[in-house]
Parts: sequence; structure tokens; C-alpha cells
Amino acid sequence: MNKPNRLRPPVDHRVGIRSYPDMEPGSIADKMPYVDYGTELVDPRRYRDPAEATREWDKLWTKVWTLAGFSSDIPAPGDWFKYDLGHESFVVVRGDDMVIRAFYNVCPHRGNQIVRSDFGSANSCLQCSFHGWSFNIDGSLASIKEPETFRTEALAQATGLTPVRCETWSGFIFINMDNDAGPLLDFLGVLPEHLDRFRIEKMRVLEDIVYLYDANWKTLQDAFLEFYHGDTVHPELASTMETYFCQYDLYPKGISRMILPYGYAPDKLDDPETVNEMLKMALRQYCGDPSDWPDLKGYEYKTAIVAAKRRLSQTAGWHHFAGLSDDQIVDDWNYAIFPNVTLNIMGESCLVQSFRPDPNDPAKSIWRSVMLNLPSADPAFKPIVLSSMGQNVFGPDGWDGTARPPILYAKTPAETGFILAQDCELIPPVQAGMRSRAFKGYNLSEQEIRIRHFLAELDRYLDA
Amino acid sequence: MAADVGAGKCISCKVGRLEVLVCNANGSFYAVENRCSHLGKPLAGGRLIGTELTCPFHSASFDIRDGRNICFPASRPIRSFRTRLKNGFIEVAAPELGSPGPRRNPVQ
Repeated sequence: MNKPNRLRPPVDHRVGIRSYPDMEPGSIADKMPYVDYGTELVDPRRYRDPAEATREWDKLWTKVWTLAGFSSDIPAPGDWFKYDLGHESFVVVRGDDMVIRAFYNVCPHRGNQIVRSDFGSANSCLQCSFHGWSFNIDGSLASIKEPETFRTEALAQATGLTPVRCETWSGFIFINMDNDAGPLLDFLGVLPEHLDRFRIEKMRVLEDIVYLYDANWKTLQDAFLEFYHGDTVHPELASTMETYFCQYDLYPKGISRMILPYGYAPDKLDDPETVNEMLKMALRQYCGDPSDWPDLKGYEYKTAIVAAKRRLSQTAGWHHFAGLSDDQIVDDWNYAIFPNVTLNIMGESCLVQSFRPDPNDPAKSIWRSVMLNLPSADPAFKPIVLSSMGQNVFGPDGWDGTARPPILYAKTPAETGFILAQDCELIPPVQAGMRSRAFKGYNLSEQEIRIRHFLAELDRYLDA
Repeated sequence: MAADVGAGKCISCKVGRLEVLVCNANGSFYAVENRCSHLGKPLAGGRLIGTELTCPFHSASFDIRDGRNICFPASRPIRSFRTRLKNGFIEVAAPELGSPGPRRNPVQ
């Protein structure tokens, strides 16, 4: 059992809570300075008002870099995937020159959406299924069927596919509908400096789930910007994961982070001295043996997890772990990329979640959860799926990341994984409750400050 | 040879007079006719994700386990054939038109 309501010393909100008391000042694990966003209630109308959704389309979604997909999903020339945002659809394709390009997925002839499936490969052209117009994979018009039946003026105004800005960082492909937008690397702020060391571009997709949600995209994302809900929504994680000494850091450009320490018995447990079964399971998952650590107490078990992961990194081929701290290879370093992506990075894995608005209904959204893992050269290690963390759910035997799984369009919360199903069940009644005339707006703790930080950045776009 | 068809890959071959695509999905082998039901184009070179094969021409797609059409512009299925592994070779059962039963052709 755990005691989430044990008495704690007062917290000066300007100082906050640190995950690593001995952290070297100025390191990337250091706590960022406090930003005072005040204590005003957050207007709930921004989570349901159609006029707000329209403002978001005009001022945010058409102006900002959004995550379209992964470079590893289009390895060979001709490979493409489809990316939908709101009512727009894009096709992202690897050229013969290996350059990744993105285009609006619209035929300039009569408006057909040219690609209809999630993934594909074009031999040399993308061909429209309506009247057969063909486009080279660099977007230029290759051929029109029966051009002799078009007047010369019509032929003169025929175009190829309309390109859209497309840039890649660390294996993540982003697009931006604003042709005048600054470069992606500027938009990403501190993220390359913090995260290049994790070599996320070497990770491969293990699981990819899409679920249509009965909640505004922000209502859903807000739940993933804090772990104040950890004890109550994810009690199964309580015996191995910190929920109190989590560090919340705010960075420029709407980027933020929470550090969720992992791998030991947190002090709120009744008995943090005992090495509980979940801790032993966590150690075994990383090819460690609990009998090697007979004297370790539960609250110091992270030592064993670190040792196991470091040893595993040698046999698995994860040599860049030598450049990561113990905390970085074990704890959940959880970053939010403005406006709609969160990354749960736990050493060799990264859970990527995105939250997209429904094209028509602000009370609905499209949630996508992609589990990335580093392939392991050591066959004894089976990759862990964070969506079902702690439930002994692994990737398939012999997974080496080369066979990309299909996107699973989940029809029920259970299909999203044990842990994520808890968030699935949680959120729709939150959206409904926020609509009550009795609800005056979020009244936030300092553990939820990333929500205010996100909304402040959103306001910068909406007020522009 | 089974070893030639890696996970997520397809190779084209002839079985009798039929053009067949032999595919490896999650370690199991499947065979479908190498001909999209939309405009009859070869499916070879198309992307295989899981058990869904997408035609490289107009992104029609099929389930390689039974040939069922999944994505427009395919509105009819394609033929699928039973396979088996024998001595490292993948064998495809392809019924010949007019003959009394399936004829087995070892496929290399």
C-alpha cells in the first residue's frame, strides 16, 4: 500500500522540487528557474469553444512545426507515409536523392487525395486514382492522361503537387504549413542539446496505436504534462516510480520537461525498505539478477537497475550510454515539444505521443502513441512497451526493428495498453465535467505548471 | 529459398504461368498473385507493413493472408495461395486451370 497523503514539509514554489539534490549546477539535469504564471483559474471555454478551435487552426496549426512521422519509416527511395492534421492531409516521401520531401496530399486536377493508406512505396511516380495524373516523387507533374483533350490554357495552368516545408531532427520528420517559418532547429530550442545524446534516430518503431478520443486535444495532453495524477491513475507504477520528487522544468518556446525517477521504492510506500516484486521484475527485464543484490534496500534499488542497464548496453550495442548519466539511462526524462508532442525517454526507449484536433469537433481529438526502442544486439533482452509498463508486456522475440508494425486503430481503451488505458478511461469524463456550469476552470498546483507554460506559448500564437 | 525472403519483404516469381509474390510477414510466408485487382499492375515493389501490401501505383492495398482488398482503389480481392516450408524452400500451391486439383511447384 502507499500513502500518497503523507505529511510533507512546505515547498517554496519559487524553489520547487528537485529530483537530484546533488545535481551539478548548469548541467542539463539542473532545475530551471521558476516562471511565475500566477494562480488565476484557466478558462474552460478554451477546451471546447468552436471559435477557439478555428483560431487555433488559423494561428497555430497552420504556422507551427508538427510531428509528421519517422525517418525510419521511409528508408528507401519511393517510400512514403501519409500524415493528416485537422482537415489537411500530407504525403511525406523519400526521394531518389534520399531527401525527404512533403506535399499536400491533393491532386491539382479535381482535388482527390492521392494516397489513401498509411504507408506505401512508389515505383517512380505517385498516381492519382481518379484520372491517372502522375507526379514524380519530387512533386513535379509527370503526365496527364489524354492531354490532347485539354485546352492549351488548361494545360498551361496544370501544376505538380504543392510542397510543404519539411525538416528532420533526430529521426523525427516535421512539417510546417507556413512557408515563411523559421528553421526547425530554432523551433526546437534546447531539445537537440538535451536529447541528441540519446540517439533517438537509432530507435525503431515497436508499437504504433491511434485512438479517437472524446476530449479536446489539450484536455488530453494536459494529463501527460504532469505526474501529480500518478498515485491515483497509475497505482501499479507506485512501487517502482517516483510521483512526488519529480522535477518540472520550463524552457523557452513552450518546451518543458518532467523528470520521473524510476527503479526504486519511493518514500511514500508503507515499506520502502523491502525490495518489492515489481522492482525485481524491473531488474530482470534488464537482464539483471536480484540474487546479485541481497543487501540492497528497496529505496536504493536504482543502483542495481543502473548496473544492469550499463552491462546490457555493452552486449546490446548501445555504446552511446557511456555518454549518458545513470539518471539518464534509468529515469523517465519526459519532454514536451510545443504544441502537441510528448516524449517519455527511458534510456533505450522513447514513447512518442501526439495529440491532434479532430477536423470538425473541438470535443474530440486523435491520440497517437508510438513506442520507439533501440534494437538490441543481445537476444536476451526483449524491448519493453511503456504503454503496458510493469505488466510484463514485451516486444516480439528477436525484434530487431526492421519490420515496421502497422498502425493499430484501437477501438477500445484496453487495446492501447494497460497503463495508457488508465488515461483513456480517465479523460472523457474530465472533458464532460469541464463543460459543467459549476466548473470555473483549472485551479493548478505547482506540479502542473507545465500546463500554464504550454498555454502561455499557445497564447503567444493566438494573440499574434 | 526461405532465407531470401526476409521479414517485411516480398519476392516475385513464376509458379506455372502465374506471377506470384511471396511475402514474409512476422516470420510467416504468404503468397498472392503479383497483380493488383485495380488496373492489373504488378504489386512487386509495393510496401508490406504487417500483413497489408500496398500497390506502388495507386496505393490500393490487400491483406496477403487471404488476398482481401483493404484500401481504395482496390474493389476486388486478389488471389492468394497456400504456402509451406520444405527443406528451406517455400512451396506455393497453385491450382492450374482445368486440372483436377492443386499442383505443387517448388519455388526457389
